[in-house]
Amino acid sequence: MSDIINSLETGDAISNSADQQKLADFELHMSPHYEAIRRACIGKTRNEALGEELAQTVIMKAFKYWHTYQDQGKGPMSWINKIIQNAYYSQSTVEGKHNKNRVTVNADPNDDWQDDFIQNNAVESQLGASAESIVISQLDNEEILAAIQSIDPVFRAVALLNIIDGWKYKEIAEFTGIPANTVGTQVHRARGLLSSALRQKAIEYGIDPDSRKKKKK
Amino acid sequence: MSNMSCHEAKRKVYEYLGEELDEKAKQEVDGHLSSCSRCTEEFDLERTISEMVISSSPRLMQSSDFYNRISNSLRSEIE
Repeated sequence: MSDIINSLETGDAISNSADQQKLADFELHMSPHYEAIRRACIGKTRNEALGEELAQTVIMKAFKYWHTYQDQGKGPMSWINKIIQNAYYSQSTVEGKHNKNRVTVNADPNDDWQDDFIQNNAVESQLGASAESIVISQLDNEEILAAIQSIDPVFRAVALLNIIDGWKYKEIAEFTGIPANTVGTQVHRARGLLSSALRQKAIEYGIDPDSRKKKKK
Repeated sequence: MSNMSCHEAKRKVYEYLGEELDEKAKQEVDGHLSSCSRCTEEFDLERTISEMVISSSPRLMQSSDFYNRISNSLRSEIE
């Protein structure tokens, strides 16, 4: 009897060890992409909460089927995109909630976002870009973070895929289903707003970077 | 010498920085920047902002509990 128990315990230990190994391997390859997956799913659902829910589903499915992933030298994101598309359509078919809760973002390809950019940067003449650049480069992470988080979550997700993850408009379009020209619109809007917020902060602090410290006291 | 105006150059700043422009458009912007210090400063400023956003990435990740939720879900999956 004790031999059977020992044998079962040994089997459990081996199984547990294999699971741990699988998890370690999965996290090694996938955890650097968690944020990009989250952002792509927010872009896909046009809703932050639904996007995070979808991203969690996608990552759990990826873990479940990790043994089927074959690295062909391009990394896991093309494989992940298939999981995103399948999970999105499964969830929206079963629950019918994606369309209902989807936020409508301005998708008018004729919308002149570029003029928005020019307007957003109307602050430029107050200090001069060079001086603003110096002040902005000395802002701390919390101030940068506040500016980023002031942007609409869907625009933010799409823009950060472009800025942080380095995705091209076409690539973002493939993952999110947003037309590439609309991706361009959203990236411009978000980057313009971010730029405007940080430039405003620079003006607030003035050219002298030390004035920032004084004002924070 | 580029015929591009400052207004046109500024409209292309994000495509330029994100390497979305085709070679011809990129050369036009480069041509303008080589003769316009004001636009060069504007482009440098936008580049600085991009670098600041990239450097804030770890803090951005910490500000959300998404990573922890995923980590916990994966661990409960193998328990």
